[in-house]
Parts: sequence; C-alpha cells; structure tokens
Amino acid sequence: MDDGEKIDRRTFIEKAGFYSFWLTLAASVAGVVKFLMPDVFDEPSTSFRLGKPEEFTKDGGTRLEDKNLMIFKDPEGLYAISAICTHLGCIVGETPAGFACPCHGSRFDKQGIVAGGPAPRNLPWFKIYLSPEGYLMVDTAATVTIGEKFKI
Amino acid sequence: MSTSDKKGAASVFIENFKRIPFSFRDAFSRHDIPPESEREKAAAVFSNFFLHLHPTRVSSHVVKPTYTLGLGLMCVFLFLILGVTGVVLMIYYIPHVDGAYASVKNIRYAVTGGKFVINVHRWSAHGMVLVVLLHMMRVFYTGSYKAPREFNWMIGVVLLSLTLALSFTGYLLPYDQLAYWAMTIGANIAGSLTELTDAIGVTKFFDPGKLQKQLIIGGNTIGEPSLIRFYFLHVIFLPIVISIFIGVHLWRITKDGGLSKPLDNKQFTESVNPDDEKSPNPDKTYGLMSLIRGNTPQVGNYSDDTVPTWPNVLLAEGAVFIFCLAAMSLLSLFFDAPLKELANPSVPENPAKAPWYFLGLQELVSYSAFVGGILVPSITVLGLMLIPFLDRELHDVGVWFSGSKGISVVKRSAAYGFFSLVVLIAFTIKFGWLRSWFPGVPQIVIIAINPATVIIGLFALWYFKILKETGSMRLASIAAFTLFVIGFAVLTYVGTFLRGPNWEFFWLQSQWPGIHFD
Ligand code: FES
Repeated sequence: MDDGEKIDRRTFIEKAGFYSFWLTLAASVAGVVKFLMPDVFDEPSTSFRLGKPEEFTKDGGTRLEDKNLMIFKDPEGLYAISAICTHLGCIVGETPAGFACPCHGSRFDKQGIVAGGPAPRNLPWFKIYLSPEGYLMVDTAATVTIGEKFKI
Repeated sequence: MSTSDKKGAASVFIENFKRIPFSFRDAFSRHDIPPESEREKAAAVFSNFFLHLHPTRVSSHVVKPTYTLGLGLMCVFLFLILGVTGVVLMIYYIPHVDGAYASVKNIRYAVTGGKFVINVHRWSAHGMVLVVLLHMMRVFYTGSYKAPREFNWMIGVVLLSLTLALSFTGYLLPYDQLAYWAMTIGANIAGSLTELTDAIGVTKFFDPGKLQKQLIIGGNTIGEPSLIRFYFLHVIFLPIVISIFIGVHLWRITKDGGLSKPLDNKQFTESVNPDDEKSPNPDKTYGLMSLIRGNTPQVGNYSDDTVPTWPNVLLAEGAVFIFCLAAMSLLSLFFDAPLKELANPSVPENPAKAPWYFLGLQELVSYSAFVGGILVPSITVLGLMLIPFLDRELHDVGVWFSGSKGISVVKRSAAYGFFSLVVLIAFTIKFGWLRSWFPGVPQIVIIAINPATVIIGLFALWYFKILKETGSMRLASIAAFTLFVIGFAVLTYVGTFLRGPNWEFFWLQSQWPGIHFD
C-alpha cells in the first residue's frame, strides 16, 4: 500500500478488521468517559442575595456558613472573601493575623493574600452588586481585584 | 419380578441410604480423606479446585516462618475477611448523603453484631495496608523481585495502589467529617494538575486537572454524585479489579517457580534430564506441578529438601488464617472503629487528619498540592516498578538483605535518610519556606523547589553515591528502597504526632491550644 503496491484481499480484510477493532475500542472508551461526565451539573446558583443595603450599617464581618463566604464592611464599603482555601478546598478559620487553614497550614492575611503554607493563590474576592429589586447580591462565579469594595 | 427381587431392591435402597455420607464424601473428593500416601497427598492438592493453585510439593524453605513471615498470606486472608464483612455491611448501608451516616450509626447501634462487623471491616482494612507494606519490604529485602519475578513485582506495586484506593474509598462512605473532607481534599488533589497548568499558563486552553476532578466527583463540589461514585468504586469496580490482579499475582508465583529461595541447591537450576535441549517439546513440563522434576516423567526422584504441600503448607495457611481472624476479632472487641460527626461542609475538623497511612502524604501535600499529591506518588510508584528492571543482578535471590554488605547499606541509608529528613523538616518548621519569606513568589518556583522536591533530590544523590561506591545495582536499589521506607516512616510520624491545629508543629497533643480530649 505504502509503495503503491497492491495488497491482496486477505491482507486487506485482516488489516481492516484489526483497525476497526482498535477504532471500536477507542470509541467505546471515549463513550465511557463522556458517560461519566454529566452534561448538566445539578448545583446551586452561584449568585445569591445578601439582603437590603440598609441592613449593613455596622462595620465588621459575618460568615455565611452555608456559602463558605465571609462578608466584611468597613467605612470604604462592603466586600466578600471566599472562605475556601485555594490549596485543597478546606474552610479557613479566622486568626488574629488573618485566616488559617486547618488542613495543611496555609496562612492568609486579612485581605486574603497568601502569607505562608502551600496555598498557590490568594483567597478570591467575589463581586457584589445591586439587583434590580434593590437587594445586595454576591456572585461567587465572578471575582474582583483584591481591595475593590462595594460602596453602599 | 419375584418377591425376593423386590426384597433385594429394598435392601439395596437401605444399604445405599446408609452409605450416603460415605458415597457423598467419595464423590466430593477424588482420594482418601485424609490422604495417606505421597501420591494421594499430591493428588489431593492437584485435583482440588481451591487447592490446585499450590504446587503439590514445595521447598522446605517455603514453610520456614522466618522467611516469609506469612505476610503474603495475611494480605490474602485480610482481603477475604474484608470481602465477607463488606458484603454483609451492604445489607444495611445506604449510599445517599442523607442516609449514609444514619445507616452506619444504625449498623453500629441497632444491628446485633453490627458494631463488631464494622470494626472487623475497618481494622482489617488498616491491617491490610500495613501488611501489604510489610510484605513488599519482605519481598524487596529478600531480593525476590528478580527475574523471572519482575512482572509479579510490578503487579504487586499495582496491588499496593489498589489497596490504598480501596481503603480511601472505604472511609469516605460513612459520610462523616473525615469522609467529607477527605473527599474534598482527594478531589482537589486530582484537580491540582491545574497548579501546574496555571504555572505554565495553559489552563485557559487545556485544564486536565478540572476534568479529572469532575470525573471523579461528578460535579464541582462534593455531594450525592460524589458519594455514589465512591460507593461504586468501593464495592464494585475496585474489588473486581483487585481480585483479578490478586489472581494473577498468585498464579504468577506458581508459574515463576514458587516462592523465591536461595540458589543453594543445584537441582533447581540444573535440569535432571541431560537431553533437555534436544527433547522434542521442551515447553511441556511437569515441573510446574512439582509432580515430577524436569521435562520427562521421572518418578520418585524427590530431593530431600521438599515437603508435600498437604499437609505442611495447608497447615501453615490455616495457622495464618486463624491468626488473622483472631487478631481482627480481638481488636474489634476492644476498639471501636472511628466515626466522626456528621459531615459539615462549612467547618472542617482542626486539624483535619487522614488515617495514618496517608499522613506522610498529607505532610508532603502541605508543601505543595501538585508535588506532594501527584508528582511524588507517581515518582514513587514508577521507581518501585522500575527496581527489578534496573537491578538485573541475579545472585542473592532469597537472601535477606543480600548478606552483610546489604545490611551495612541498609543501616547507612537509614541513618542518612533519617537525619537529612529530620534536618529538612526542622528547618521548614522553624524558618518556613519560600512563601513565608517572599509572599509573591510564583507557584512554578514553589513547584520546583519545596521540601518534597528537595527530599527527592537528596534521595537521588544518595542512590547514585551508593551506586558509584559499590558498583552494584542491587546495593543501590537497597539504598533507594530503604530511603523510601524511612521517608514513609518519618513523614508519617511527623504528620501523625507533631502536627496540631492549623497544621502547626507541636511536640505533644496535650499542648494543642483550646482543644481538650477526654
Ligand atoms: S486545604 Fe488549606 S492548606 Fe490545604
């Protein structure tokens, strides 16, 4: 075949059979991998309500336990820092210096910037915005640069 | 028919009826029970489905307890115990995030014997990991991985990984705090390839880490899809795969000439039949079954150092089995398997620790997820698999530590490994690492230079030093393997005993801040 030579029928059928075998196998494996990967993930929405802006009068921080999110307010505005460690996904706790992770000892400062340990990235700050109905919203799929606060 | 014939038929019936137990026994077995002659003993093993995995005779070396320590058998028996108790637990276990924890509690507190079964299952799993590791050490230090057993050594390394995978997927199922955070961390380790792709800036186009993570947990966060996947892996997929590999492993032992032994005895290397080369069908031997040695049937030529499998090996196996069963039962009577609080996705335990066999890894992961969780394990598995292909020296098979030279290499390597690790870890604990000195250091630098990669470098240096010094691949392999063992032990110790809340260093658990134990 390669040199323009003719191959006989037996060789052709042998080769065709051989290649179809591998092709079928590869297709089956691809099918299984695709099967294992759902087309739609059944997961909660990434944005949710924080409340009315009037509710945020005092400076300080709160933790949204079920969202693994920390909301802080200071005179400059409101900001949301993820509590999920960027190392392997444990939940960081607060320390006098900032945040610390119980699993492998990552340390972050009060801004969520890595200060030690294995975490490869800073804790992300999530976008805060006002919904048309006048509610404060957080979107955990959108990040903002560290230090960008939402003026109320 | 006449009356007398009828009477005869009735007595035949009665006669046969009375003989049922004996005829049944004869039908069940092809030989007398117990077998008396040498020939019957061989037939007893050879003609029995469950026993025919054994040769009919083995070298007396094989039944010497000080040689194998029965470790391989223990692995098999613990696996069997795990299989039986596991199937029993499936009757009550519910693989759903809302029911799993309650069902495990149900087994523990509301099912007669449930606590005992669950304890046996858990302790046997711990025991199996330990014994598999010890078995690997035995096989390595007696040089039993050498040709023709290289392939079986590789299968053994696969079996080690499968054992760990089975243990891991097993302790995820109760859906307690340990399970939840182990799932999270495990999934993110699979996803930590992203650390590498991020560092070289290709994640946007190609993110195998994320793909891997989603494949394993069936989503982006832990939930029902993850639990059911791990359940499937634990009770169907991994057991089938490991059973196949165990089967091949045991079959290869027989095919590769039984358990390894020193070549002190010429008979085993030299053929009995001088015409072997010319014999028409040299592939067809009877040697495998050890019925006859050589290629042609020569009966009654047993050498003095073999013993019949029945009863010697079978008794030894029975003893090891009873030992395993007794040890696990006793452990389970006095110590309960751990069960933490119900999974809480917003607060991990502090510290959140894996079972002991992963704590060395957890220590490594605390330097870099990708290096500790993927790179070092891969290098270790690859290195272990390559050992018999690099060390092709065929002497000293079946000799512990290859004699006195090997013993001195083991001692020196252990000392080197111990001190270099202690110094390195002490340094890291005292002074931190790059990130604590230069917080902005890019991740690629951390991936390249962190305590885990330094350890690999230090170990590689020592391996080549021993190789150069002795010129022996066997001794160099002994050095490398000893470093592996010491590394595992030291890191496990540090992870288990010296790490407290927020993974900080503490000499004693009693010094942990703010946490009290009863
Ligand atoms: S998950 Fe936070 S340090 Fe590992």
